[in-house]
Amino acid sequence: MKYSFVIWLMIAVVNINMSADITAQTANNNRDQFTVKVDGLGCPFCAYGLEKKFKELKGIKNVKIDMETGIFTFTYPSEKELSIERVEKQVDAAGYTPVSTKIVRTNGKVEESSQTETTLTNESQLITEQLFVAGNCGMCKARIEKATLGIAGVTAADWNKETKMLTVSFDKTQISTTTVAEAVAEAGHDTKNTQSTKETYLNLPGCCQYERE
Amino acid sequence: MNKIPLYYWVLMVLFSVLSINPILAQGPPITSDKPIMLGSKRTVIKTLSEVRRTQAGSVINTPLMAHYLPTSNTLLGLHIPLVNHQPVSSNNNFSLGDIQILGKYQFYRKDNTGKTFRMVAKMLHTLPSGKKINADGISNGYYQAYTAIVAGYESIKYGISNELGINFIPQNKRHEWRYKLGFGLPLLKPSYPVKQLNLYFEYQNRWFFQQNEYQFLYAQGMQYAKGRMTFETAFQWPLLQKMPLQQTIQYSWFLGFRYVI
Repeated sequence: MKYSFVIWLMIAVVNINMSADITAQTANNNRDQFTVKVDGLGCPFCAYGLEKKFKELKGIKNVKIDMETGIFTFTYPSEKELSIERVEKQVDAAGYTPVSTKIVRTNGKVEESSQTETTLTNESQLITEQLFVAGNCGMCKARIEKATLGIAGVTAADWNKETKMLTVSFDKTQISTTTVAEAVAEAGHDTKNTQSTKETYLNLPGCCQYERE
Repeated sequence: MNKIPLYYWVLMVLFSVLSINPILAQGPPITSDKPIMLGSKRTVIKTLSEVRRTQAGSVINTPLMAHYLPTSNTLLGLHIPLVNHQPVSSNNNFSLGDIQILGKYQFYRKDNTGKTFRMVAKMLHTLPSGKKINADGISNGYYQAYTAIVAGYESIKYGISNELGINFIPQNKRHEWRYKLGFGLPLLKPSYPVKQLNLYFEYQNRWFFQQNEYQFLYAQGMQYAKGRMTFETAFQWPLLQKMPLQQTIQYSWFLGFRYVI
């Protein structure tokens, strides 16, 4: 009787452990994996500030920050569909610069911000257009060009700090200049017909806050 | 030196306990400032006690500092100092010091992997809520307006911070230029979660150009941070000074503790 009780207890403990593992795996399976390269993390306090800002996103887990490489990783519930744009906005709101973001979704789909590839086909019609984009400095240039190159369909982008003109080459069967204008506005920069939100504009570094009409 | 009343120690401990930060307050430099701001829509409550010994006696200051960041590049602050003054020739007294209102705006930021360079414009208004006990920056009893530029480079290997500013006191014309220079050196490899032991070397210059008086102070600081707790201390003494007797500093000792929720 005594032995059977001990054996029963052992089996129960093993069972509990196994079910806990399975629960954890299921939980991980339902979570998207994020890898963000962040510039400006000069000290562990900065890393703490970054993590604290991301804690505003309820459900964030498994946060790791490598100070030397600036690599910030975390997982987030897949049903909330956290986007690259939202992640990069949060990094910006923490006071740091997002360089690239990679998301591995639970269905295996990989999304990357800095490596958006444009596939050209026989039907593609590559054109080059120019549009006015408000901005001030080198940081603006980097942000505008990054936002533009992040659009699938864009093959080249160059913003001139003096003339404020963005020269962009893209496949017009995939996108239009409106798509480009919307992307740069989302990054904080106004164009002639598209305005960035006040909150996004105010979150730009001081040197990037151009005069608005 | 007169005995410090028990209620002062109680308040000092209370303030230290109250300095539980919703976010980790910006770390040192301890006696100077640095231009990094940690995230928008954040509130920071902290304290850093100072024991200052001058020719005229001692002053113990325990300020309660509340900072709010409406955006990632702006900061508004309120500093409420509680002061225990122990003059050489009379009894000690406990009072409210000069309340300060702080505004900071980060106008330049250049980030790279593991490093950042930032510049901040800073305004500090000091209200004459304290007694006239000649304790600069603690309790002077005069309205003061301070404007400065703070520039700093921070990397995982070292940090440098500069602050250049001018302080106006319309009532007694003791206007001054201030320059602060601080170096920070981590003794442990920077890692996250936080485990840090840092050394700080900080210089502070003050020049009262109308009176041709000056003060050149050096502070040796140390900070230990692990997880949610941070302890910091600095000892400051004059290298050169030509000041009125009551403001001639013999030494200052700073002590801070923070806990993060």
